[in-house]
Amino acid sequence: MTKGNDIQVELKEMNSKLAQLPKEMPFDVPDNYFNAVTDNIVEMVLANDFIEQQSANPYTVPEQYFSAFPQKINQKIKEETTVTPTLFSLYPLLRPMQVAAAILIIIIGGFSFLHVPKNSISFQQQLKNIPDEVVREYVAQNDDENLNNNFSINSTYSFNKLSEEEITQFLEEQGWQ
Amino acid sequence: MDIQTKMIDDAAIVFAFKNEGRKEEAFTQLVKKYQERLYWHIRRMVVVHEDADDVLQNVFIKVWRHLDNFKEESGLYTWLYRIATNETMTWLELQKKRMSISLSDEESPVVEKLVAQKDFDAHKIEWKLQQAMQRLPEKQRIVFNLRYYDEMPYEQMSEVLGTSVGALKASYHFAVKKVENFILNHAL
Repeated sequence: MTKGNDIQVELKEMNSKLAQLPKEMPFDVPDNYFNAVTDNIVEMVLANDFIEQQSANPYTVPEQYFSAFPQKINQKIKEETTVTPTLFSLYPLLRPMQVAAAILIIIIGGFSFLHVPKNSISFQQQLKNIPDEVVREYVAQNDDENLNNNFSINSTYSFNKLSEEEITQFLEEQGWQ
Repeated sequence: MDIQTKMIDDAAIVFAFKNEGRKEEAFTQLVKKYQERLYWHIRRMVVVHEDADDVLQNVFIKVWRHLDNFKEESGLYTWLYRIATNETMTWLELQKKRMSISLSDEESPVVEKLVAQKDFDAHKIEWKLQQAMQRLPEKQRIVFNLRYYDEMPYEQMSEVLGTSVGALKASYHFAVKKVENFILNHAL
């Protein structure tokens, strides 16, 4: 094997010693390799091709399935966008309504709580409305020393000694309840 | 390579290959025409015959699979060399990964295989040249291989490797200097 002219010229221009070297290949190649390799390669390629054909996908797909597929998908997307919204799909809209309802319930609840008449207040007011004569008469009838001595309509002390039940019963009798 | 094979035009091979009835015949002609050149291109890179044979078979399997889509924008010869070079590079990368020791870019996984070759003689200049070549970085080795042994014009090499002509000339220049230095430093 000899070097082509342009290769030699180039090496000489580079002032390279390689220009003087032989281009022999020292490698050993099995006898008859190049005569046999063509047949071997062709046989192998054909065998490979056969194996590939055999192991090809066994499933079949309807004709024009893949070419029609994008259109099919687009149609499905369009259909889905026109469907009546479900309760679940309205969830984002319902949310502010839920908040408003919760606020309303709190306001009504708070208002009701603040304006419910308390029993203790009502009871005191009822006591205030009893005329003094009626009270004195009751005291006289019950002959209670403490009540008689310390009676005052504003005094809570005397009434503390009476049970709420007794007072209620009295008021009922007198038609104040 | 006989005269009849040499005469067969690349375009005629490609044309015949695309005809289902002549596909096998055309492929056989193509293998006959290029097997030896591609074998040596690969062998100088991988060193061992069995490895070169494996890579060569892979190259022709790829050719069989893709020749139908060959656009003929580049020559068949360039296209075949590109496949052979890529297959060889992939094989070398795989060898590097398989080896437990890490190799630097300048170390080829085949240096040790070279000295194990039949008839290896470290004193002989042709073996020394191979040793020097195996110590080149991979891409520089391919450039040296294509230019020095295959005598491929830079323009064609540019198509095979996807690198500019200027870069290839510079790469070859450096490769020649390195090979020369190795031989001079390892002179008898």
